[in-house]
Amino acid sequence: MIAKETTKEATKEQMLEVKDLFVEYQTDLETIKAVNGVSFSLAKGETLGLVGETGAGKTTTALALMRLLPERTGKIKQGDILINGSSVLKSSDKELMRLRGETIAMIFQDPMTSLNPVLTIGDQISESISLHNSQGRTAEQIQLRVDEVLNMVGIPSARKGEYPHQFSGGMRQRVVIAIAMACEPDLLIADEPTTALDVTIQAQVLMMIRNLRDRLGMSLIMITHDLGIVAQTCDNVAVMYAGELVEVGSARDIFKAAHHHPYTDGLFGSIPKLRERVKRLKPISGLMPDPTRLPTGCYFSPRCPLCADICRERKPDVFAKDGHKIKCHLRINADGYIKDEVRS
Amino acid sequence: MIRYVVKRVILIIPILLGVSFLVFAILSFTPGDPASTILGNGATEEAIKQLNHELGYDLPFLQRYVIYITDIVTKFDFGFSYRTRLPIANELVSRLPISLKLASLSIILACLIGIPVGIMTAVKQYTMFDTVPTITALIFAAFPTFWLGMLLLYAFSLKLGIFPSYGASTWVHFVLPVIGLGLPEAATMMRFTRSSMLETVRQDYIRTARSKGAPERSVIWKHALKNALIPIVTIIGVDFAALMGDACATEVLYSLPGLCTMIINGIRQKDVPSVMGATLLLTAFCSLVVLLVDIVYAFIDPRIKAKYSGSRG
Repeated sequence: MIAKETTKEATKEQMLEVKDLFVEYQTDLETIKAVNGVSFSLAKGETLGLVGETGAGKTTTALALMRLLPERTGKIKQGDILINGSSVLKSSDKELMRLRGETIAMIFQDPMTSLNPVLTIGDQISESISLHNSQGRTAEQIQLRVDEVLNMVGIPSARKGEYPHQFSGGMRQRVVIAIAMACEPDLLIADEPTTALDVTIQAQVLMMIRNLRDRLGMSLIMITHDLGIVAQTCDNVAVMYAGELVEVGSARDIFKAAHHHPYTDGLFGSIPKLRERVKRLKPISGLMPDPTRLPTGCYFSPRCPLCADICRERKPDVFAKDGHKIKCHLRINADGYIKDEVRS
Repeated sequence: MIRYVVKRVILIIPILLGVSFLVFAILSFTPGDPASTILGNGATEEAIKQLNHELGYDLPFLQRYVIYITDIVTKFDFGFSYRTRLPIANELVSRLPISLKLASLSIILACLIGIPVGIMTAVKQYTMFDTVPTITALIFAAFPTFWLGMLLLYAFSLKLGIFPSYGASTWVHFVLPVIGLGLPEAATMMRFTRSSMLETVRQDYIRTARSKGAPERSVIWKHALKNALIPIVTIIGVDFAALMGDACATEVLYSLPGLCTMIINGIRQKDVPSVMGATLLLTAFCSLVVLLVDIVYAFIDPRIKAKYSGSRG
C-alpha cells in the first residue's frame, strides 16, 4: 500500500532500504564502532547475503533493523532504515511490536540459548501467532497453526508440549525457524542459521529455509561467513568488513567478475578449491582492526596485500559498474568502474 | 521423583547424627557442669557431685552421647531438662509454633517487599526507581537485627505505645518482631531478585521473545520472571530455615518463647538436653525445607524435573 508512493528511482518494489547506517556500542570504558555507514536495499522476494568474518558487524546490522540492539549500550548514531517505505527508527513502541514478528522475523545464531528453557516449544511458537492475530484465530485455530508450522519444519506436532532441553541442537534450530516462520513475515533475517550445527544438519536446515522462502515469497537476508551458502541461496551479496560494506553486487558479480575488493579476493583465497591443486590455502593475514580504534584511511589497509600510500591516508570512494560496487582506491582505473556519486 | 525424595530423607539421618555429635561434644568439653550452675556458688562439693550423678552427667562423654541417641531412636525420648526436670519434647512442641510463626511471617513480608521491588529495580535499571530502593536496601541489609529491633521497640512500644513490647499471646505481639526480622531479609531478597532478573533479561531467549513482537510486560512477567525465580526460590527456602535459628536477637529482645531462646538459656545453664533438643529440631527442619526447595524446583524448571524422573534430557 505504502510502496506505491515511494521514491521514483526505485525500479523494483523495495521492501527494505538501509541508508548510511552507523551503530555504536557505548560503555563507560570505550565506544565500539560496530557499523560505519552501511547502505543497501532489498526488493520483495529477493535474497541478500551478508558476508564477512566474525565481528564485522553483520549481526549488529540485523539487530538494528529490528531495533533489538541492547537497550543501554547499542546506539544507532546516524542513518535511516525504511521498511515498506516507513522509517523503523521513528516507529512507536506499538508499531515496533507489530513490525517484529509480523513484518520482519529473525532466526538467531545459537539455538541452544535462543529458546526459553521453561516454556514448551508449542507455547513459544503460539505466542507469536497470538501476538499477531490479525485473522482473529481462535485458540484452537492457533494450535492448528502451531501444528502446521511444526510439520513445515519437520518436527512431529505431537512434540509441541515438550521443552527445549528435550530436543537436539538441529531440532532446536528448527524450532527457532518455526517461531520466525509462524507469522509468515515479509522479511526473514537468518543470522548464521547453520553455524552451531554439524554439516549434515546444516544442509537440511539451509534447504528448508530456501524452500520456505520460495513457497512464501519472502525477502531473505542470509548472514553468514560461508561463501558456499551464499552461492546456493543469494541473489545479491554484500561483503562486510569492519562495519562497512566493501563490496556489493549480484552473486554473479561476486563470484565471476574480474575485479573485486582485495578483502573479497582474500576470502576466496582462503577456501579450498576442488579443481585446483594448491599446496597451502592463503588466509588473509592479520586480524580485523580494533573497532574502538579504527585506522584512518581504508579500514582494510593494514591487512591489504595491495595497500598503497593513499589507502592509509584517505577513505576510499565507491566505484560501481552495473550495480557492482567496490569500495577501494585501487579500482579508480579499472575498466568501466566509475565513481559512485550516490554516497554508499 | 518419589525415590529421589526418599533418598534425600534418608540422607538427613547422617546430618542429624553429625550435628548432634558436634553440639554434644562442644557442650561437654566446655568448662562447667550443670549441677554447679543450678546449685549456685554456695553449694558443697558433695551436693554438686550428687546432683550430677542424678542427672547422669558423671558418666563419660561417649557413654552419655550413646544413651542420649538411643533414647531418641528407641523411645522417641528427648530427655528431661536438667533445670526444670520437665520433658524436652513437650517444651519443643510448645515453642516450635512460635519460631515457625516468626520465621514464616518474616519471610512472607520479605518476599512481598523484596521480590516486586527487586523486579522493578531491574526493569528500571539506572533510573531513580533503581537507585533509591537499592541504596535503601543496602542500609537495611547492613542493619544489625538487634539494633533495628531496639529502634522499633523504642519508637512503637515505648514512645507511641501502639504495639506491646513482649510476649507472644496475640498476633499484635508479632508485628514488631516480624518487621524487625523481615525488613533486613527483604533487603537481601530485593538485591538478589534484582541481580537474578538483570542476569535473565540479558539472555538470548529474551531477545527472541522481543523479536516476536512481545510487549515489554509479557517479556518481563512471562519470559524473564520464571527463569529468574529459580535461584530466588533457593534463597527463600534456605533463608526461611536460617531465620528459624537466626532469630535469637529478636526472640530475646521481645521475650518471645521460641526455640532460639531455648537454646540460649540452655547454653547459659549448661542444660544439655534443652540445647540438644532445640538444635536437632532446627537441623531436621532446615534439611526438610532445603529438600522442599529442591522439589519446588521441579515445578518451575522442566529441566530439573526431567532429571528427577530419570528420563532423557
